[in-house]
Amino acid sequence: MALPIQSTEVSIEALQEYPIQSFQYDGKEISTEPLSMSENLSRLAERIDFTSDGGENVNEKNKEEAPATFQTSSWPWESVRNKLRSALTETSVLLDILTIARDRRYMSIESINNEVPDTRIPLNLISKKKGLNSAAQIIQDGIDRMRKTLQEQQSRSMDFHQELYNMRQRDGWKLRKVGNTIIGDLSYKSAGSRYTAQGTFEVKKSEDEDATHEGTSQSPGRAPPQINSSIQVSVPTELEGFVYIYASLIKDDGKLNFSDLSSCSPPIQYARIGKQSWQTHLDNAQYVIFCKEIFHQLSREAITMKFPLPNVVVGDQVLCHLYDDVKLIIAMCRTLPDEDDLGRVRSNFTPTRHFVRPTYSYVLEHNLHQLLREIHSRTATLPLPHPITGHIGATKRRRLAGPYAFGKIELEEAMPSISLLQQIIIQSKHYYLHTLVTSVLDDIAKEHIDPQIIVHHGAIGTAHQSMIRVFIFNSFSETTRCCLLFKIESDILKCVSGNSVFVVNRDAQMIRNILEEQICHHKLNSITLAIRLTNWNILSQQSYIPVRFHDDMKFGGKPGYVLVASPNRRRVLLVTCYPKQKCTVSLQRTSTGTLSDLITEEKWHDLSGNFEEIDLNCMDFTHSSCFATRMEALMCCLEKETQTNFY
Amino acid sequence: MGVNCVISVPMEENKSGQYVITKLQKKIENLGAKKAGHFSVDCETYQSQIPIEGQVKVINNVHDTEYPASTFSFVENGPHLVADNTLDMLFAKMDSFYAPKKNFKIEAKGVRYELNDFLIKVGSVIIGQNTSVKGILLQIDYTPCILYNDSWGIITELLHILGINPNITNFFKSRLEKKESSVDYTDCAQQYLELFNSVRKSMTVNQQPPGMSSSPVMIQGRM
Repeated sequence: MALPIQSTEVSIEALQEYPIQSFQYDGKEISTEPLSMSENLSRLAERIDFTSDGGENVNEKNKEEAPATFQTSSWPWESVRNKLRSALTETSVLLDILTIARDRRYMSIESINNEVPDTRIPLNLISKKKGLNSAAQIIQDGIDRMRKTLQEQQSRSMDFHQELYNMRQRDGWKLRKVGNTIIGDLSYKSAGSRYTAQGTFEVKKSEDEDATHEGTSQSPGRAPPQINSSIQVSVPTELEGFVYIYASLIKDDGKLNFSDLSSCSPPIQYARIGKQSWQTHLDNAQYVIFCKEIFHQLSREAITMKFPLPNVVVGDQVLCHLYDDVKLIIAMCRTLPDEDDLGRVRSNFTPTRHFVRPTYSYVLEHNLHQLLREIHSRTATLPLPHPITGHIGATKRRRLAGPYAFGKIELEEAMPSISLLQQIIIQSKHYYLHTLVTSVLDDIAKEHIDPQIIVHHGAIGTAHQSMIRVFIFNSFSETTRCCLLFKIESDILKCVSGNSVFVVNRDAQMIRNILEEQICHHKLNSITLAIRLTNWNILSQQSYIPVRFHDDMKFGGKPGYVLVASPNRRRVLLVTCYPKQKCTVSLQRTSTGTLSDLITEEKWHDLSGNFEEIDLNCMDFTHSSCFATRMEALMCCLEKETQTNFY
Repeated sequence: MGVNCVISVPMEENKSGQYVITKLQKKIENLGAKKAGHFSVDCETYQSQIPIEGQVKVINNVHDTEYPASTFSFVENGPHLVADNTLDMLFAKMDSFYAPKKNFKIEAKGVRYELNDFLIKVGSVIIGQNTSVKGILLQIDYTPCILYNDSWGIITELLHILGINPNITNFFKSRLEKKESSVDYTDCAQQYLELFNSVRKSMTVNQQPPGMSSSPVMIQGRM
């Protein structure tokens, strides 16, 4: 069932409220007063634009402008009047123009041609062409510049900036710019050195490339390879030249090839140093700093530290006493570049040690370098963990020394700081002892062919401790071998053989005697082995008993001997062995012929008589010089002889 | 480090301090002791500039050449501290809180002797810049032992031989009363501090009423 549609009445009327102008603080609203009729009329008349042709845009413009003019006008109809006046002016101007135009004398009115001739296309083309041309020019310029630099780079080996970059990045030189100059640092301060000497160099761009080429062409023989670098370095004059540390041991009696160092201080030599590349130049200068630091520290320690015998520091030379008769000389030898030709010792210089003396010890120099580098690395690397408040570089024990109230002795233990000089003295002493043992062993090995001597130098060792093992054995059999061990420290030299330990007090003669004794023992041992092999019987045996004196060991005492009899006891041999002498072999004489009528038995013929020496060299044994082999052959011969005689 | 006993040696009347020291040294040398360098124990006093809990606090810093890396710091009637030598630099920076008392630095220095197991130190006490001897201190260390009770007998014997009455410090007494109390490294510094304080006290007493004995502690010497 559809409901009848009832219309609802809706009344629309204007609001009885005026737009609110403002609120007061007490909430009272102030509304704008409504416009009166005349005001409303003038506002509407204000909106009329007499100049417009009724377009929308203009209307909008007027709408925007209207409130402004309305506000500024003092009299409500003023703007209307103004606009009417301007309209009147325009109309009268139009009327004038029309009047003049009709006359055609001064003005004519013609229809306007709507098609505008298109003159812009060629203009555009021209401007585009111009733009393209200028762009092409820029690109061309760029190409030319690049080509030029490429050619420059090809002509010179490297660009200055590139080389400077390499110098910093690849070679790791420290460079910085001060003003217009580039200053580099040669010192080892960043590596932990505390040497205060200045070590700066200046880097410049090499100005004249041709000069370098000329220099090399003048002396092609001596000059280093082609220097083609755009970098030129200049180092301070005190770092010029070549320096090395000269270390040597000197002994008074000169038995160990330590000849006397005749001149006390090494002379400064002058030499013409050819052109060198900046790398070698800087390397040399840095090496000079390093050597100077070594020598500076050594000389300082030699003066300040107390040693039992005072050290001598003269010029560039330090003299220390290792023992009463052995001295260590450390000197700094310099070769300065010589520029002028007059009055100086001149030599054709090659950067090598051309005036090295025979006593010069590379080992000690190397040790010195290593020691200083160790000091550097110790100062550069702090032991971790390290508290922020602690002393820099102090060990943990040193840090605890204060709170735990360490005494003087404990403190010294906590700071094991051994000086460079002390260390090199310890190492020199060890080196001296090592050289001593080696030279004695070499001599003995040369002298003795029969028991052969083989020396093994221990690969694992330090600069102040090492081992030398000596084997004595026969060339034809290795079953009997004798082993000796030399333990070399800085102050003490020990020799271990079997169960006995000898403390050798840097006495070459004693080392020699011990070795001779061992050789003697070895000979007797090898003979005993030969005897066992040939089934002979040992009647009596005695090894060499040395008699040692307090000061030095001289050969004396009882000789070692072996008394052996053939299996059938008809031949008796005596072998005596004495150090430093050849072994003697003696055969016991037996009675020949009939003894008497009463004694008829064969056995009485073998009664013992005197011993007679046999010369083993007469035996025909060209293939073997081994004593034990000869003995073995002799015993075999004798046994055979007795057997044939007997039967 | 063994048991150490520090005592004050009485001055003789009408004799200079140096005379007493020389006499004592001669006695020690006659026993066969050998000179082993010099020693010095000094004490610096710092005073709090701002009162803490309503009172002025005093800190004594003692340095001993026997422990060259350490500073012993004692708060008066309070705890003590053993620290590294850098503590002095810290105090120098804290002078607005703790300022050193001027002319209050006291020092005992003299010769060190070694007599077998004993370590004997004879020191003259000097206050501030004044070089005159204000007192004489004798330290005897018995190095092999760390127990007070066990070593007290032998130390007394040595003191008797030297003819000195064993007038020990309160600190040492308290140690002896405890059974089996062992040595700590602050002991020596504490004894020195006690004796230094008594020397200072006697100085102030001497200055106020004139005509008192110059010896800091009255001990009857037995020669």
